[in-house]
Amino acid sequence: MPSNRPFASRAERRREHGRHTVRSAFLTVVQVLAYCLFVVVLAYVLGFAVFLVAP
Amino acid sequence: MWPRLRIDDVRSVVNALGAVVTAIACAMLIPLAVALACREWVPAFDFLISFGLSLLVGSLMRLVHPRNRDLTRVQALVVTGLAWVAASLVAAVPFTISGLNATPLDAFFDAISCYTGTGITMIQNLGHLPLSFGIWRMIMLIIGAQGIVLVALGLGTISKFSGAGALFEAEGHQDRLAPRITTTYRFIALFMGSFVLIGTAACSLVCFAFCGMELPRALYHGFSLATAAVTTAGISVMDVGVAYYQQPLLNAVLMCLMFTGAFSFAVYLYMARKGPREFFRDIETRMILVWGLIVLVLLAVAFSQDGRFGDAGTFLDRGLFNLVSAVTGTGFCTLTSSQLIGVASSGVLFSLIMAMAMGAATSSTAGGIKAIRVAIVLKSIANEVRRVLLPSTAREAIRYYHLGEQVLTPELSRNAMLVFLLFLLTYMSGVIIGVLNGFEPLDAMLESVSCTNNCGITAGMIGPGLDPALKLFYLLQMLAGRLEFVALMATATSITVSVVRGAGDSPVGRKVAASVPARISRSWTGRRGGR
Repeated sequence: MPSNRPFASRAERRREHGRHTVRSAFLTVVQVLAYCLFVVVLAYVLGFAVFLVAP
Repeated sequence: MWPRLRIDDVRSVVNALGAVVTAIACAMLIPLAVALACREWVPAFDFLISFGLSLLVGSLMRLVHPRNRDLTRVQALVVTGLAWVAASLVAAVPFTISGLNATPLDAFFDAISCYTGTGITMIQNLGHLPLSFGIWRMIMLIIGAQGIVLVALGLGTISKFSGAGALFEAEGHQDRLAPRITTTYRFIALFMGSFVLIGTAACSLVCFAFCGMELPRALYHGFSLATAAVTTAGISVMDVGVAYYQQPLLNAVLMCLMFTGAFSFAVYLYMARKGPREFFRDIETRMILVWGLIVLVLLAVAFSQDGRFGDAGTFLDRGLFNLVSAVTGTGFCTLTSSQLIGVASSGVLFSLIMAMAMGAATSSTAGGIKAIRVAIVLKSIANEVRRVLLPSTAREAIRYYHLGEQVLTPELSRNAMLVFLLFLLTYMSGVIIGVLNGFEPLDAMLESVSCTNNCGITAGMIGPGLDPALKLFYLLQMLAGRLEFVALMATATSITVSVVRGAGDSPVGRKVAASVPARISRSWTGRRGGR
């Protein structure tokens, strides 16, 4: 989270906010990729299972 | 009474379009630099001519000064509709000059196809395309995926005071990710850039390690594949598409990238603010996954009954990949057109059509009906059934989860049903026109749904030899699928009425213009606009 320290200068707060934004955006990108990978793996597993039981 | 465009409106529209043309001209500097770096002198000359011509036209258009800097909603609609046509005309110039496309209409078709992320091409012998042209196609994909007007707004070529909100909505962006449009643009660019970068690294590695390519070639193929997957365009640098690589690991990487482009970027931003659980809580994500599961069962049954693709390995390699490509609206296909028409059963074709029919999420890079509209329509139907069963005095708010808890209002429900119906009518009109031109009904349906949803899986009917009238029809379908349907119809109506009845300052025209929801953004003097 951006700094709540008293007496932090405006520039310091902005820098910290910027760092926080980049960090959370990077984390989100990693999370989204992980979720999409999970969906793909699930699709393979389900696809295989459905194909085996399909008439 | 239909509102007509006045001279002032035309001036504002021409000025804003000039900004878009200038932005596209500037984007041509990238392929020009690539051509010079790779010593492709002839393509470099083509891009230089196109750049000069576009810059000249754009600058001339910018000389037409509007009386007011703010755009009205009607002007914004017209700008958005025409911006895509103008940008495509400009982007088609190098293709026409180089002779890569047989006719200017083919070049225009290719440009629209790239911008809308459809991915159907009229260029033959893609494998021998100069590198600069390959890069230019990828740049068009990236610009189109973000939205041409949004890119112009983000880069500042269109003033941020110029009715940015209306331009933003008219381009089909449903959710504003941040209070400021420029910040929204930065978020979209940041997410897309990250996915393309990571995707390029992964695809290049697979091409280099498993496909026996040299590093520069692997990087080019990796970048092209990753861009085409994240922008859900499905364009390939080879004629046979991704079937060229024959690499299951690459298919898995591409499936992952296709999903990143198909889910909502607004949800990604919401995740960044509220936490990772928001991803699977969202109604759109759930709708896409449920729809995917339904068509997966359909395709599995179709494949298992078809003796020619009868084993599980073929199903996972050929079936599942194409299914994900169709659900995400990408259009990569490991089956060639002749295999789709001649070998695959009608059940397989039907499953792919069903998979394409819904489209992906709002605020994604894909076109089509969009998952949230389908979810709202289904919720509305369920609500109607429940209302009949409940006592007449019962009142209950219907809620759904999309970027937080939302209430399903009758207006939302009506809008979703209207767009849903318009898409169905467009699909049907495409089928009728295709059948009248001698296509098989199922093939005509595949082409129609594929073009309208900007998917790009084709039965091979669309090609350089296609009748020009049909090319124009599919071109319109692609535009209708990418832009807001109602916005596009409003643009067409506005222009037609103005041309037929004449623009100008007639008393009626003034009266009607005054009744239009006037200035939408605060002018920079702080006064709410309006004449």
